[in-house]
Amino acid sequence: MNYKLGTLTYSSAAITYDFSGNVFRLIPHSSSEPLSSTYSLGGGRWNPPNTFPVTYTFTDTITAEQYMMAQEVQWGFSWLEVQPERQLDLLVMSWEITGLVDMATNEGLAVYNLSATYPSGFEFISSWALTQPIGNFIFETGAVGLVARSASATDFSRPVINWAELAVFSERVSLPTLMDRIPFDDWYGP
Amino acid sequence: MSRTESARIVLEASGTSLVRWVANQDAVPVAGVRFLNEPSYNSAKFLVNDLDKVVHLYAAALSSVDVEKAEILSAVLHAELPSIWTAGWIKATDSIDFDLTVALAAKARDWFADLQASGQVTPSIGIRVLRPEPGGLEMDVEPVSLGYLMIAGLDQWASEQRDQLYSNRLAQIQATLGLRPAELARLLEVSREAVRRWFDGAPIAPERWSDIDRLERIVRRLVSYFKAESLPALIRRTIPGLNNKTPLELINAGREDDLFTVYDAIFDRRVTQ
Repeated sequence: MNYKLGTLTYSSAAITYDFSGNVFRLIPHSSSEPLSSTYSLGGGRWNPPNTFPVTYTFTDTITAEQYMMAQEVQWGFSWLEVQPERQLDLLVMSWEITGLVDMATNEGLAVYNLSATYPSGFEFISSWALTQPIGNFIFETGAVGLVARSASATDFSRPVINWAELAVFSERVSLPTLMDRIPFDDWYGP
Repeated sequence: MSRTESARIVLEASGTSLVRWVANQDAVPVAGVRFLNEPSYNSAKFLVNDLDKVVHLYAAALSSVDVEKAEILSAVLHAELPSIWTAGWIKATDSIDFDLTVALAAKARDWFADLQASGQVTPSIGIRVLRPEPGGLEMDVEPVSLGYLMIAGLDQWASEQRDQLYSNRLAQIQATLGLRPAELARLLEVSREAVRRWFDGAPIAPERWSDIDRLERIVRRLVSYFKAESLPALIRRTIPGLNNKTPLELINAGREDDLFTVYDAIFDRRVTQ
């Protein structure tokens, strides 16, 4: 998939990233509100249920594919077996965000007492009990979101842009620009 | 005898031929006198249960004319018993069961004639209307006795509907999940023999209904996530994220909530990891 990746600019003083360019999001094929983050209020890796909405995105389509494959392996199903309206389309969005908290580097993780081996051991939903309070704490500081290692990625030797996820506190930033929506069958289907 | 010939008998034959045909099917009732002598809910229930053979015989015969209408006929006839009992159909105590047999056919014919008149069944079928003859048995009928008949008839019909509903529900669960009888028996905590009997048409005891309802809810939820054709394989596949249990094992252990918590997070919350 030939979408230009965005850029992440690191500030070692603030331990934050600025992001600019394309990010990738997965939404159900039936969704008619591709930019909405309302459903995330049910809870996710970085937001406890019924707290604040988060738009979860990937910085590379390869990581999005790895996420899909990881779900299949962890939970014993194939996305091809999923009802068509629930199969995931790939959204391409353009976003400019400054001041995303660093949860990608060892230094950034250490600030929140996470080890350099993260996300190893944090693959399953049960680990959200540990990550949600961190996300909540970061939200309480007034941050706009965070850059994290994708729990579906396995190789972190490449640049951050190739394996990161942006968890954006959507109420605190302007909406991204929707660039493209690729139906499930065209990007992950048979 | 073909279904069409049976339908012709129910709709056109004389009372005598009709009774002979019903007797050949071993369906003539025997409980009329008991209700006549001791009208109570219990004797009404007994009578209704007894007449049920005739009702279903007629409904089965008329399914060759119109399957859907024949199914409704069963409900119609179950509700007609008070009318039959009071409209002069019963000629004498010793003919009461034959009279009821003829009267039920008469009601079926009336209903089909109405359907025909309103264009809901084909005009090509012949219907010979039957009416009670003068000189019927003088009966002092208490309204409460008719109430017993009415309630017993509706109870019987409702009970049959529930039996059919749970039988269909069970078949649907088995087919959708591709369950072997032994697996279904384990899920419902009954013997394989019980499952076999249910599929042979035996009624499912009410104490099993909630278990079947639970399984149906599970199946409905699974189908909301996954294509039905994938479920037989999917429910037997281990889930590393749930201690390598299969969905079938989790359902068996009453832990389907663990499963649905995961599916909700994956499919409904639209969050990634």
